[in-house]
Amino acid sequence: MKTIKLNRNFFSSPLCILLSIILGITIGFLNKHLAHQLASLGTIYLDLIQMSVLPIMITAVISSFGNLFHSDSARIYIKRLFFTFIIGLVAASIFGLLVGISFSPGSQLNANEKILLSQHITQMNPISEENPLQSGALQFVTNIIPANIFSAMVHGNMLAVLFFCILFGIALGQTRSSSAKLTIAFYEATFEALLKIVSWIMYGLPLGLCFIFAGYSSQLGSSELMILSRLILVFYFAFFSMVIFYSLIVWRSLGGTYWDSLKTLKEPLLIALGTSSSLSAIPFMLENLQHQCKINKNIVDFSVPLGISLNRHGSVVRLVIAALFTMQLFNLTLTFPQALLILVTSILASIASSGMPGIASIGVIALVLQPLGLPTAVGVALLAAIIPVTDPIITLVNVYGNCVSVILVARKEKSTRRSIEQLA
Amino acid sequence: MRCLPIILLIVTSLFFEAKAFANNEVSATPPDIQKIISRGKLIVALYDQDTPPFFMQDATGHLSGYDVDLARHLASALGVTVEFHRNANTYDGVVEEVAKGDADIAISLLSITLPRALKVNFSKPYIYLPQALIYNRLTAAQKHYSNIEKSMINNPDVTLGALDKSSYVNYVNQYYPLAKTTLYNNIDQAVGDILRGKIFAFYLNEIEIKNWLANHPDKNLYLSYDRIDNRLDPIGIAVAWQDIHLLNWINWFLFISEKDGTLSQLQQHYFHK
Repeated sequence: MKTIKLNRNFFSSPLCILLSIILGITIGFLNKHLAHQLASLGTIYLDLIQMSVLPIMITAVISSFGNLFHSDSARIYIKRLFFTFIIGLVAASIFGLLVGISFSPGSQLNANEKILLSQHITQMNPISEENPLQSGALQFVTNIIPANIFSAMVHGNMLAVLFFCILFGIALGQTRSSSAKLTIAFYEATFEALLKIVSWIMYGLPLGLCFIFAGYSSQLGSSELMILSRLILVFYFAFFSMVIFYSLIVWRSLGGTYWDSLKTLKEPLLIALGTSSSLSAIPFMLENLQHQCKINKNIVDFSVPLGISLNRHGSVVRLVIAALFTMQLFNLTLTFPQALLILVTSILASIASSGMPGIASIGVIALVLQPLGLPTAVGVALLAAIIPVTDPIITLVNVYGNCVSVILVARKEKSTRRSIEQLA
Repeated sequence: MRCLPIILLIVTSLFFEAKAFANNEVSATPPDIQKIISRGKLIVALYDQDTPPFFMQDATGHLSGYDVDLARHLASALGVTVEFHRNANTYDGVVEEVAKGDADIAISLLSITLPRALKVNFSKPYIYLPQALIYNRLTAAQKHYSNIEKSMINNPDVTLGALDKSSYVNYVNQYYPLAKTTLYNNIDQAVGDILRGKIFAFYLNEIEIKNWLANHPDKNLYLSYDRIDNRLDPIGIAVAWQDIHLLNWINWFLFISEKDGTLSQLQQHYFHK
């Protein structure tokens, strides 16, 4: 891991990263043409990161589950992790309900907002006509269980890949033979080698972020987004409050100054914000949580890939607000059973959408809207209209929320270990 | 289309020759066509309510639309001017006008139906309109009418709308016999009732529905439409049953207009994509 330490030099200093982002945003505003060209270079940088993400996820899950089940400490960790996930998701969903109810973004839309959303309805017809409910819960299960694990990998079906890797890791951990131990070690070594590749790629981070932010800022400021600014502000309010809340938790858990606690997670958070891809942030989450936050490697390696797929606070909040928006648009009042229904379905839908790219993931809102008897097309149109500006911050919230979950799991682990030591 | 005036010139010159040189009084032009040519204008019956994009009047009183332009082309091919009579307030009434001889022909979005064809002659269809339902999005979602076509709405709880005395009344009764029917005089009234939840859907041709939605873009949030596949509405020109030659000539006019691209040009110009 020495190489990773090496790059904690100028290239990854906060100042350099900040400057490159500012440069990128400035280019995006001043020269849209240049920004578009740079954006395609930015995509190359993104591909470079993503190249290693899938194998990193696979090896991280297999080796961490293998190690945990080998030492019999697995049950406690897994219970604790899922407990943290569920509490976090329910809290996020309730928060989304509160924001959606108090700001009621869907009532009293003006004519321009309605026209713009209508245009998106027409454009998004193919996605809203897909009917995930008709295929039913069975389809959801068949999506998780891959008939062909390699085709699941090729198609980026993350839940299926995770399912297989978890089983494989557990099986390896339970196989009591020296060769099984060796195999786990093989996956560990592969995993570390892949992280090393990522650490090399990190040298280009300032440049990559500059390109990505140039492309990103050149899309901003279009008249379309001005029309929807009221709706976008509601989403931004929700997500920024969550980010501030997370940063406070991290600060309380890690100690030190607030600024220091912000710096410990800067790479994964900036990558998430810049790329709108939580998968791309995985290598950086693994690296920073383990080395900057000093969290047990096994906990990090098994909870980060799981969390990125299952524990997505930002996606949940987005679905909840969009559902309330649709209800308000049709002047329907939210009843308590409906609120409970939204709470459950939004969490399930966010899990179902994991691994799907931005636009395709919108379709899962049908899982929330159809049980409520609301037209899917309206929710899809809303999310499609605002996705260019909300996707980065949603990804940031997803990644940050997971970092916080891992930190909380680890803190509990420390306290139990301490009490065990005291008992001894 | 371009060669039509020339053909006509030849036809008319032949007619003059015949008049000049033949002693017997057999007219070279059939009487039903001769009647229009001597009058110098073609009287076309048109439904009295604007039905964009087929016929509509702008603020200055100028008529335009697919059917209006088709009538103008037809008149100019006959070498006469055109006069529109907009007296009938139902589609069946438009057919009546032609049957009674108040108008020479009707080009007025007339579906060719068997009851109408008992009273007048119809040309070959100049367009086939897809039938469609414009419906309330929210109701569809609440009742889980996931696929409107699949006869889910053929049940007594559903009320469907159709234009009064139009072919769509027959279609609704034919395809959705169990559903209740409410009749309307125009699409605006019907859509108002859909938005208020009084009826679930309005049965009409897709072109008019698309056109209406394009003119009311904010209503897409509340309304949606489904084209019913394989259910095409043949639209023809109505001619009095006596005017056999006129009918024949109109069919050739439509044949040539289709071949030379006039009809598709009109569609491109008027139909919302």
